Amino acid sequence: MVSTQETTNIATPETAHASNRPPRVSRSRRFGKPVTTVKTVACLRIPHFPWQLEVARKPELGDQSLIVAGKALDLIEDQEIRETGSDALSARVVIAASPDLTDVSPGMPLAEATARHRGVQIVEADIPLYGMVFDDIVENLERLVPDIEVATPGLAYVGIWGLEGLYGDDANVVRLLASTVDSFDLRIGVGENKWLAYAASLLSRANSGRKVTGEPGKFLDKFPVDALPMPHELVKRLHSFGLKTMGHIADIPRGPMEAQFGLNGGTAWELANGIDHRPLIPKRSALGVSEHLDFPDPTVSMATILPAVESLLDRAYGRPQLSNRFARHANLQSQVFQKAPWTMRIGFKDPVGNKNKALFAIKSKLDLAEIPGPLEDMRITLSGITGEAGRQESMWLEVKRDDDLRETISQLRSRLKTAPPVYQVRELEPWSRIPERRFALVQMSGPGG
Amino acid sequence: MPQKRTKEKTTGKNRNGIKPLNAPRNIEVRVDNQGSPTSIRVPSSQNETHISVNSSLLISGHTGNNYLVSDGRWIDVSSVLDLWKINDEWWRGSEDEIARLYYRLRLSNGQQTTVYLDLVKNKWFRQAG
Repeated sequence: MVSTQETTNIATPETAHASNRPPRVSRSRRFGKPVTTVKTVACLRIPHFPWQLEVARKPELGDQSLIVAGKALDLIEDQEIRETGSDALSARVVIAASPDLTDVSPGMPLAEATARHRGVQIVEADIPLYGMVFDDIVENLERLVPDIEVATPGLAYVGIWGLEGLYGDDANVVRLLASTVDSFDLRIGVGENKWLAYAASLLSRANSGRKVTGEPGKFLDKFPVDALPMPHELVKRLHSFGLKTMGHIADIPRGPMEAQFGLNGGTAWELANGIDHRPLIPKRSALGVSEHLDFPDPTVSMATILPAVESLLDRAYGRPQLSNRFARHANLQSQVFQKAPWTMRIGFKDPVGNKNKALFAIKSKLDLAEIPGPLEDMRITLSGITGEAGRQESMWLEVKRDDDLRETISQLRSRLKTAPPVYQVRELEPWSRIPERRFALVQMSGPGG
Repeated sequence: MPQKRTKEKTTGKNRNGIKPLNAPRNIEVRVDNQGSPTSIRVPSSQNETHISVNSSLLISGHTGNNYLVSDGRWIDVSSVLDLWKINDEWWRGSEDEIARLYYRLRLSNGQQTTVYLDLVKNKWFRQAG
């Protein structure tokens, strides 16, 4: 059962200021702001989500101090940054830790965490699994509310404004949301923006909700800077300057914060004052078809893997969701024996509407792929499904001829692994008196792409 | 950069996958006392070394693919069908300007071909187009 506790007046004896500083008022309130409808946001947080999952998978880990380790890239929320990830994002960091390791936080370099806790158990992060389990949770939530933003596995923001007519007040909405998650320790926070909702969730007890209704400045005053959704390095620097709570940061004008810490310093200052302009970006529901099988024995043999892929594709294309439809991407996921899970993403050059073409593309990529160890199972997910029910051929012969040529070239490219030497004659300077400058052979497909 | 552009244009490929069509190819040419071609031969080797102009006889070039079949034999020129001269890009300087003396030839085997003498490099080339 979920209880909601309103923090309407946060100046309780426990949280009141120890100093004589007057209660802080957020900038937006200090200077006044246009009267707009407050869009209340709920933050659903499953603390130590990867750890909870690992313990659920191997209960014997529950008694041990544990660090779930992965790459910094796995903690980045922005997909674009992930795809253009630099070397720094490949560094090994803490993804999650067991609750007893209170001084270990996500994003901390693994070396630093292990130096603090020698002999701690380290488990390789199973990011695809965390994503899949959390996707299931979000799928359940989507039946209740439409606007859900998934920040990371274990953390989601839900737009709960305008739901009074359906579900009653915020407390009822929170109860409903909590009822969809039954097997995890869930904390829910409610606030006027994402940051306040997140901060409220940090204060809420297990399977309960907390709402911020008072002055955000007062509410946040004693919050440790470690709670800021900022890079670990910045938090360390804040500590080194003696800035240990939000109140410390909010006491400083914004200018010096930005001068010292750059753009992130300005953001930290805003958050410390309860200001968060980040919009809620609802998850776009993408239709995907997923099929799974377990190998009888862990295998690295292509003679086993390829028939498995073929069988999965056969099943996937047999599903009604893919009937007369085309997929743009395929995602292969496998558990690897005694190693981190393996994933591979294949983008089809053209949307693929049948098993054979998909298998051809996947096989070409598998031939080049390095499989990290014996695969225990395989899941294939076809996504980017288009409504295109067929391929429109041109009635003009020349266009059709060009289409056919392009298709042939793309097939050749897949087979040769390089741009095929197919050229087209193009006019360059037909007026030139130098014959070799009048025309040129232009490669039909770029050499690199 | 003008020089680089010129080089790309005359050397064949560039990194964007564009190759000039009808690029000049090396050919060996024997000439008479007036400098008119009397016989030609397609170089048999891709790595044939350059032989400089001798007062009356022959000239050759470096490398190139051969489409004019001569089987390594000299083919006599029956007649000169046409003759013209091109001067261009003289503003690039004496080393980079284009100065060519073109000959349209009928050969003794019936083929027609176009050759030119690069007046800057003093080398013979064959050219289609």
